[in-house]
Amino acid sequence: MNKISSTDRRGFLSFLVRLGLISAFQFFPLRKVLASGGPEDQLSDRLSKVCDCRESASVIGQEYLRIAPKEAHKTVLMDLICQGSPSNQGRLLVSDIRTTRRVLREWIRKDFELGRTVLVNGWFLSQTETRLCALTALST
Amino acid sequence: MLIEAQSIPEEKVIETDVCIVGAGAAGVTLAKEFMGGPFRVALIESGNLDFETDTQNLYKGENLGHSYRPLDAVRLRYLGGTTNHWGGNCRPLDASDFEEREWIPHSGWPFPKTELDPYYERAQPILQLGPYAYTPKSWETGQNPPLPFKGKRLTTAMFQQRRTNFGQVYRSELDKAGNITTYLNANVIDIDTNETASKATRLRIATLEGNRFWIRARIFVLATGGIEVPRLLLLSNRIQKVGLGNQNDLVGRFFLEHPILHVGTIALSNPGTSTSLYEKRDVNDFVVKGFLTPSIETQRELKLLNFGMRPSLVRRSRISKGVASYKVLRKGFHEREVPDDFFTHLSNVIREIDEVYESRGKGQHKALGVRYWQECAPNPLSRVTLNTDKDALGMSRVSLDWRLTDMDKNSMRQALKLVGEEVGRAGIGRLHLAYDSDELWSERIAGSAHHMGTTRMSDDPRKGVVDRDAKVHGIGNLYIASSSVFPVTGHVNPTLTIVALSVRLADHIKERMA
Repeated sequence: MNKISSTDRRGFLSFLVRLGLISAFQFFPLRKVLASGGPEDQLSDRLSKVCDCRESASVIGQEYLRIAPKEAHKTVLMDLICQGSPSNQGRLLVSDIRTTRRVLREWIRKDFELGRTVLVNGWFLSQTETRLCALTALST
Repeated sequence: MLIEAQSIPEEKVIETDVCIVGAGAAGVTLAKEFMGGPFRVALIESGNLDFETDTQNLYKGENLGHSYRPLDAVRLRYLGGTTNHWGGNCRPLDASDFEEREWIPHSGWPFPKTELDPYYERAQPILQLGPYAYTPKSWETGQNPPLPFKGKRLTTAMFQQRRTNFGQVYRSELDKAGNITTYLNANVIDIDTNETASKATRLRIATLEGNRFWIRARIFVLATGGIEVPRLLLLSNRIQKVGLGNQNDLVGRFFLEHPILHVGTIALSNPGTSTSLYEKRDVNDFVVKGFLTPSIETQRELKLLNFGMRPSLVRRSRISKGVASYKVLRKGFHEREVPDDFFTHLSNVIREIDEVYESRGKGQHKALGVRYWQECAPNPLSRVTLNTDKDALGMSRVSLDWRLTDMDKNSMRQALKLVGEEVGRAGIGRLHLAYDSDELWSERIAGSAHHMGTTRMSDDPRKGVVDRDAKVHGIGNLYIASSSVFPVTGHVNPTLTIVALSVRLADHIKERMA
């Protein structure tokens, strides 16, 4: 198993801290997202850039994709993150940042409540946050 | 009074009412309960007033099973016994620990916790503890809230802590007690019985200097701990060839410990999260500390063994290789020696230079170290047996074969998953395990030097060595005061329960003798 380096770990810790609060999701301005292609591309781009610790998230994401290679496609990941619901995808895309943060926070909380967790490099993570990392890895 | 056993005339027979073997927490408690009463009590202690190597060597034995510390390092053989080096953590077992839990084979005590509660209460002052109160509410103040877990899957409970050294604290009382005679350097090498082994008649006592004499009593109590009690019963095989009380091959089986492990860290979402409730602190002159434990509903739902875990603030530097390496290099510099792996350490420092820098300041608490411990699943194959080596008194030494089961392993995995989920769900942070799944179940798991279960309690002689009164099945006047009678251990340190059971046993014996 690839070990996350200490530097990466530190960055990832920082990422998790922010993800826990969803306060550091740095969404690109909507106009930039809208200018980048179709809705799937827009959403993928948006979700893959939700944090500013992309390298650390990417390490976790790569490790997760090693465990779950079938998910190594942006569309699959987005579909799973949005729980297979087109309306969820649309909701994320058109919501303002605050709403998007709240929605993701709730999904992550729900993951933990329902035991939808993944052990990656020693971290107990929610499936949603792990897939966000994987999306970041695919986009890096 | 205290008497040196070497001074007793050779082959003398000492007559007494109650003879207690072992002057640790259990034995001293029993003796105290008889102080000033109408009965003559002999308290037999193998050791002296202080540590002596020759006596301690009598504890040597071999480890056959799960990695374990040397048997002469996990207990002490002189007045006060293992309370001479214990951690002092005290808490009663949970009510659910006494119940039969259908997902844990061989679980349950023959009586409920309510039976023991009055004795727990009486045990508190003997251990110099505060009031019989173990909920956070009893000890928290506004500045010390429990971690904000959602729901009731994980709850916060409390330990009290006092390292009461029974040898030091009660030596003077023992010396002054008119009806208690404490024999020092006196080793029991045989329990003699009548021809049907239905009654213990006398103990054979030996000193390392070679003296031999007898003690005859109406009641005998073995209070020598979870390894020496079965050893003594198995060695006493003149009449009952398989050992006293061992007619159902139970003596020495079901050895239980508390597996313990530093599992990793919790990275806090909010570095300002208050964790002071879980730190050791002084409240009204009593030391308390909180810990986390699953509710019985959660144990039932996930089929868990009971467990505890204590988060404590660690500086980020403590989980940094760079800082550890910096300390090695600094030590080498001061001692003018180049440490082994110099370049590895240097590389670690360079890679984590920012944490090394931070480590020199204060207030960098951003993670919680997590210490985890759990109860052991009762397992008849986990056992203490005699081996062919002999000690200085010619007695067979013991082999300890501590065996953990798949249930122990799976329960630990499930428990850590539960903790990981609850920590994330509550937004407290994320749990990071220090080891991967396979490493987790390895020699990193240590014992807690809590030796239990080897003469387990049950009303059914086919399932236990002692009955609910701690009397050995089939022997009318032989009792056991020890954690060896625990059929199930819960996850908490055993001493408070040992003392409570000893107080209870003293009441029973007094009533019986009256």
